[in-house]
Amino acid sequence: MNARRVWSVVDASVRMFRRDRPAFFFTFAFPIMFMVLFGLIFGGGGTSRPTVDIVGTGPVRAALEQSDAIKLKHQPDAAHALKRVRDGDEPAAIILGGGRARLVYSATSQVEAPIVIGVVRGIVDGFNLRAVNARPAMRLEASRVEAQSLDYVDLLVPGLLAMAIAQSAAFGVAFSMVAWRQKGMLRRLRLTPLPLHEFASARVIFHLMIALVQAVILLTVGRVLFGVHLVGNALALVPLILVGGVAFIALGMCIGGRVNTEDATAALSNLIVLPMTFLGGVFFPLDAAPAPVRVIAAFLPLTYLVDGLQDVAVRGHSFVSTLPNLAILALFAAAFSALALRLFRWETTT
Amino acid sequence: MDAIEVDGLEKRYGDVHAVKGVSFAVARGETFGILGPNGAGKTTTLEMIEGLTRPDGGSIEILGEAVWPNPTRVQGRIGVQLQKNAMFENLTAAELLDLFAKFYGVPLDGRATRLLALVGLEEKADAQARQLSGGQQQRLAIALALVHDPEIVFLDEPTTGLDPQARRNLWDVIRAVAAEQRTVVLTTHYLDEAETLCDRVAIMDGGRIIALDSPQALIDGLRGRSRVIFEADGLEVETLAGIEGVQRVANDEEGVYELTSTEPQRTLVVLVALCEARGVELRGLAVRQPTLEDVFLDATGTEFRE
Repeated sequence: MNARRVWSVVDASVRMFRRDRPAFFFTFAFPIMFMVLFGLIFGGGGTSRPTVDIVGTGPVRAALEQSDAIKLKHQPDAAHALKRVRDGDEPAAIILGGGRARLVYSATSQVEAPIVIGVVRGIVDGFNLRAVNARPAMRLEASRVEAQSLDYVDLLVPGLLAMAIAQSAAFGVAFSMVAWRQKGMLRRLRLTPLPLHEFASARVIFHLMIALVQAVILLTVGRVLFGVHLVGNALALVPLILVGGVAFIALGMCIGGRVNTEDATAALSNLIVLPMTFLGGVFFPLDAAPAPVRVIAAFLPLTYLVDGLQDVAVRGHSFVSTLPNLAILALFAAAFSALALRLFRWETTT
Repeated sequence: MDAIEVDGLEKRYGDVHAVKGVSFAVARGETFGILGPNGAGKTTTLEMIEGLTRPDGGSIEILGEAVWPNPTRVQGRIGVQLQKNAMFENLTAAELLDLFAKFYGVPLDGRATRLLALVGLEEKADAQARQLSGGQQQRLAIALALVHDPEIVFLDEPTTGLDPQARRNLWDVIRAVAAEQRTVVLTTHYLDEAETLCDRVAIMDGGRIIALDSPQALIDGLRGRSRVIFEADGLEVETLAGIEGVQRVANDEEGVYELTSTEPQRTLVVLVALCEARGVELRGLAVRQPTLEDVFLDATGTEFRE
């Protein structure tokens, strides 16, 4: 390995990238747009704190106001509140009066309704127990593990970072490989004394540099726009980004080795990477996903990158606790690299 | 020792027998042309010599060293311009030269300017490759092939797709490269190109070399194929065919004649006398020496198709 030669290719790669506006946009602006879009749509804790209409006053209402699980919106009369639930304006309404707490909810609010029911039931049961002076047979002690309450955007920021790294590595590597083979650049390089492993190493280093820059940019944007603070140690993110990056770069090399045209590259890359972003826990937490989705997710490299980055960034986990995720990503990296080596071709074969 | 020695080269692609027992030698400092129509096997032959395509049979030596099975050994001593001028198109000419020099581990120092001047691109040092015209890209590709000062330079159809002016510019570049005591091997499907640039020419057709010599010797071999071309009215083909030295009479167009003659001087004298006697006016009289085109026609029995 000739370090000077490797560095000359890294340097050339950086120069080429800086002059390639579409690549620049796809790598940096695109993930930021995604973050802004999803942050605005789902931001402000939309899914984690449902808003509920409430009619009437009393001790139950006072207790509900103490709960930080739901937000209350006062409505003057029951008929109006009912209509709003029917129209889908709110997931549920609580109508208090005459020693009764009536809860109406919509079956379409599959996430919010059970939360509201649970909260209201807990409060009502508490009143009933107190009324009969009974000693509770069992006490519930609940405490939160996170330093702060987790909103959707808190998980979205590291999730989107994982997606950006995966996409730009896989797409970028696959596209440049196919284009260079098609145009005969690989053949031209083959005639020089530059060995393939030096060329490949240089390209891996270049794409890892891109991934690190993406991390800095996306975490900064997340912090400035959505107040998502990095809870854990930033240095614990680096191994995940590098090992995960290598896995996706190698995946890109597999794609680039397999196909001949740029159209086919786009198709195959999307076919592989797009489902991964939806099933890998970027846009919704996998804990809440149905079992089949979780089974599929377990076989996707992105799942472990998303999870690892979320662990460190918002759950404050240490480097040591990311080791299992790192190990799995390393396995993916090794498997994809081996496959990429088998699929590599200098020339477009027909 | 010859620069290149090729013996009994064979290559098949499936059912296609692309190269059928090609043998030739290129002397040091020579400009050697491989001429032939598309599909003649020129590029395949060149790629086997450059170490890009493994031959199915035969042997290739470059500067006394066998190219196969380990072509990387000789690749450091040859410079190659490929048919597809691939380069990193977002890099400038100067950056590309610098990058390629680093691949070979030779310092470029001030040579970038000299190389760009050699190929007439001194103004374009800071232009990105994608901003260059087709001809300029070809010339940059030649500069890149020279970055490590190779003893042998291969140019695969360097002027294909260029306009006539760009072709002539590139001829000057190739002459300049050859003038530096380098061995140049080029393929072309332009007969005039081979005739002007090459010391010797191998004519290929259907995977075989059908003729190999200096352009002049090849043409001299066809001395009997000078052509006398003219326009005249009222001359019979039979009378013309009877003129001294005439082998063949072509009269494809009304009043336009082309005589193929082994003795063009005698033919002319008799033709002029005949016209004088009949009071026929000779118009647009021309005598053409045979060209490589005729060599090709003679060897294959078919017209050369570019």
